[in-house]
Amino acid sequence: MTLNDTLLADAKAVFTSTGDFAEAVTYHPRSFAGEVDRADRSINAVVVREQMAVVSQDGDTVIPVYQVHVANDATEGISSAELDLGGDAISFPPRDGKAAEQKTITQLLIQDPGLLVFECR
Amino acid sequence: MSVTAVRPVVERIAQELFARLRLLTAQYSVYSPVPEVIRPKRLDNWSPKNMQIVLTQEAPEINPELSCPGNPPSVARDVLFNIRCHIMPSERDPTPVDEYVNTLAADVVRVVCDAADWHTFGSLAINAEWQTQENIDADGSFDGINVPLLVTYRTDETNPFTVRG
Repeated sequence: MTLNDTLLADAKAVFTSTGDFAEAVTYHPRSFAGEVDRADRSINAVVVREQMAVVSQDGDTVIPVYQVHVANDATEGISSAELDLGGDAISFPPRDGKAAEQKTITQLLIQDPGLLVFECR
Repeated sequence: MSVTAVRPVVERIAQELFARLRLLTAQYSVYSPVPEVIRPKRLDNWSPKNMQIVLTQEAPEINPELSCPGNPPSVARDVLFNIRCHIMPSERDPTPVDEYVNTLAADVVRVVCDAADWHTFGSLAINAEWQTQENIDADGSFDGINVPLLVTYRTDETNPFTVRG
């Protein structure tokens, strides 16, 4: 097994394991007109919370920005091929103890064969 | 804080403008299916959506040329409302993004002006003028356009809750 294979396997088994730093979240894929609707599904993700950001596009409104790490996988995470940056969303609690809220995936920050890192707002 | 008393004139104008924009969420236009119109809170948690509208305002500025002497004097103020339209179509949508931007901006103007003496916002203001539209910088998240509206209103110098004509 090469290092590359090990890293790809660890992306699912270790880096996004709920036994370590990850948690279960819900992926809401956007369905574009004419396409087959894609169902929501539960996936594992590492969510970095409460990084407040000023949204200069909206008159300096302050809203929380989240960084979400998922496996680049169509079953256990989100594959880079299926991702739609025009409306795909992920549901997770904005703070520990609060109910899950749906947050739009606004940017793909990092991508490699093993992991995807998004910005969600 | 929940306020049951009559609100200041500027807030009543903002609420009238907000109500008109919300017509877009009730299928006012077949071209612009707006999912929601938002006035942000201090620490908000709304999430960007395609064709979403965010209404913000700048601080009111005194307009001395339109202020009038009296007892009490009336003070005219200009308040700039920013109607920020978010465009975030699917990656697989072949439609040029400017088509969505142009259409939504036009529908915003149309719905706000779709009232008798629209510029008075129900006799609360003395004038309203559309300003130059500004593109929202695309940083990879969402595109859009800001449609600014400058509203001029008068109140008693001593009571911003009282409208003066």
